[in-house]
Amino acid sequence: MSRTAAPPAAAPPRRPAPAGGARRPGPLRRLSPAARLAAAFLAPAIVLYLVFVLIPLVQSVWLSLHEWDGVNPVKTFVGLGNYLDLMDDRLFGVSLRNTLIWVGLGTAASLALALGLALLAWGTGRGFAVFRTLYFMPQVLPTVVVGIVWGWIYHPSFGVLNKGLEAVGLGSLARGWLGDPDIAVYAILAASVWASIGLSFVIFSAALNNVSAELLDAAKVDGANALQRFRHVIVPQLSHAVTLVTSLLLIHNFQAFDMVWVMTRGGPQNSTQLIATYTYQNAFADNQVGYGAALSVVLTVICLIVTVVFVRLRERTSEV
Amino acid sequence: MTTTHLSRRSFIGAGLAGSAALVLSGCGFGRQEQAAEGQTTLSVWDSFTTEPVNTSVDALGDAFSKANSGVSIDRNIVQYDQLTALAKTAMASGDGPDLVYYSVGKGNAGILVDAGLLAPLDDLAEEAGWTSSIAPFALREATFDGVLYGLPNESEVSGWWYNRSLLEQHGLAVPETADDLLTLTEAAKSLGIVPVAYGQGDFYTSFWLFSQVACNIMQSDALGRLVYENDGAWNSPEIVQAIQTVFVDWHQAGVFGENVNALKAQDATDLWTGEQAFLLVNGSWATGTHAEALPDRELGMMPLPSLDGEHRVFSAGSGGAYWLSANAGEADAAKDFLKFVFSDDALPIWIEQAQLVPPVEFDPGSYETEELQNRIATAASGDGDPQKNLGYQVNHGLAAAPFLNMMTEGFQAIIAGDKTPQQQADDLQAAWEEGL
Repeated sequence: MSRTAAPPAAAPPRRPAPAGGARRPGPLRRLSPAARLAAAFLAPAIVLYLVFVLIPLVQSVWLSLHEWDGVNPVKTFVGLGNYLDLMDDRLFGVSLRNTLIWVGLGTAASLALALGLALLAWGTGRGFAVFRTLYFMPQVLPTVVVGIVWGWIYHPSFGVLNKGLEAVGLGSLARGWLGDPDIAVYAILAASVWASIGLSFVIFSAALNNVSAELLDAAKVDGANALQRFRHVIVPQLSHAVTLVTSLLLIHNFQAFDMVWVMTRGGPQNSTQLIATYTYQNAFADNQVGYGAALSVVLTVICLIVTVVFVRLRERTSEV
Repeated sequence: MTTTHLSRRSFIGAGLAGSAALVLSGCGFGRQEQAAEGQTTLSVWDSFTTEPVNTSVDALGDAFSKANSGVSIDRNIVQYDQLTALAKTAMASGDGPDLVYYSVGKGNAGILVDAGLLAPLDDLAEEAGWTSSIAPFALREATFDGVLYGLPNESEVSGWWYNRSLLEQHGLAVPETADDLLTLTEAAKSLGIVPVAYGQGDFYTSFWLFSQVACNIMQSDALGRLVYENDGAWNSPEIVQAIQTVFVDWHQAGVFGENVNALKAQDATDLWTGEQAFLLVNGSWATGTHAEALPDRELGMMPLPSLDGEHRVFSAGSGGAYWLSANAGEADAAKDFLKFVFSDDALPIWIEQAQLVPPVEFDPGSYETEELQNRIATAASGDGDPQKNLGYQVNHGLAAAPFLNMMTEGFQAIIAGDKTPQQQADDLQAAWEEGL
């Protein structure tokens, strides 16, 4: 088949060409009314996306190629210098490792806990509303408030966690949770997981209502135990919910900043630095905006890679 | 199916409406108060968030407006570390305040000076007589390359607060020497009370303690030359030994209690005001707060116990200063405000209400002040011999971001046992050189 189609032989022009030369209609006129309506509705979103996402992104990339203190009118072009400096920066390695821990462990823990809680609350009848309210409540709290409250919980002298451990005879486990570089990041992550499971719980609860009772009963009759019913009957029917929740959690965890900043500001010994907090520290506290921009570009690239891999994996699983 | 036809006029109208909505929604951002006709509104940003200083600065603004008819102050109060980021961004975009209260030092106001965002104040200093009325150390802190750019508002010293009433209640005395301190520590541990409340959970608290250590071991002149002129080194054997004594030996002896890296400055203060600690590493800026928290107790502040058996020196400096924006819309009103800051009308506000020690000579007996405040004022003014008794803050002068970060991270590492004093001293010296 020919790749070029012949023009219709007898297609008359919709309007006679004006005398003195053909005047092409403007781009809007060439659109159908429905397309114009669609363009009108899309335009504000496109403008917003351009102004608040694409242009800042391009500016960040441009800034990352410069050395700049954030206030001086002169920016020095350094090419890929900032990116090369990242390779030798020990704290970049620490913040990258912590970011990966945060995203990987944080997403897995939130997903598992939310699903587990939704399963436990499933079928509790009128009591479900109580559980739903209870588990969703942290979701409506501002992250800063959650950070402050958990800071009190972890307080080495007055915190309820240490007091509780001492009360049950586990005083040897009491410690300064946010002051120990080996565990501080996990302590903050626990607070973040607590704050983020509410929405996941609600989504899983809604999805569980659509799980086929007939299939579950059939599996039970066939002798499947609880774990097998969960693995082979419930989870496949929750696949769309799992995809949605995983996506939301990945986005949420890559954006993590405020909880760490409120609770430890990246300390002690920079042991809780995430790429986002390290970016902020460089750009706004240490006056190295170009280097901070390079860090933010790296974080963006990591987000893109993870997102693409995740979407591809989901598509492949769906096809199977 | 019904198709809705959209004319070009409707399309453009919808687009314009959307654009107008966007523009209008953005109008509130960064908005400055508009002055009424004949009125001047002076925009001032500061970080006086705690009481009684916050209310006192409001009173200062009211007094200025009363003395200057037609001039009002639009005050914007922002947390210290947020102001650092916010003010420089706003001023760089030409949208900042007329006056900003900002930290001194190369890594803070020095950045704004380098970018040409601050106006020189030498002429104003001459006109207002600051060169003779304001303490030389304060002017030094706000001077860059020989040019004065800021007006420091306070002479603050960092030291150890003590609760003499609590100590005496347990048959103990305020420690004067390192041996006294270790004796007190043993007694305090048996009582379940923290000897000295100190936390490094905040990034800045090690600045205080290391300043005190450096003041004691180097004394004023040598430390001043190092901090302001880069004459000296941070990794001298004396500094290494001093770090060993305070951050390793004293810490391991239990002087600072447990979980030093987990406690924030406010946590340490809470321990002390809750009478669960005998002493507190803090500074004169908290005089009003402490007096309010422990009204019936005999409180005081002293320098770090001597490390060489002889010298005890407060670390002194200005918490911050008022700086005039080079792009100030109301530069004349701003200069009038700066001249008013230490006027006869304003001094009582700083001294009696804010309970701070302004960096000017004054007779505490002429003001209605508490005994505690008089004692702190005496200490902050050098107790008759400022050359001997007052040193410097190591985070001022030429200190830049690498050095500040190394203090925070390095002293946390020493407390955690992950670093030796020699390594920390060498890292501090390297970070100092990196920031020059």
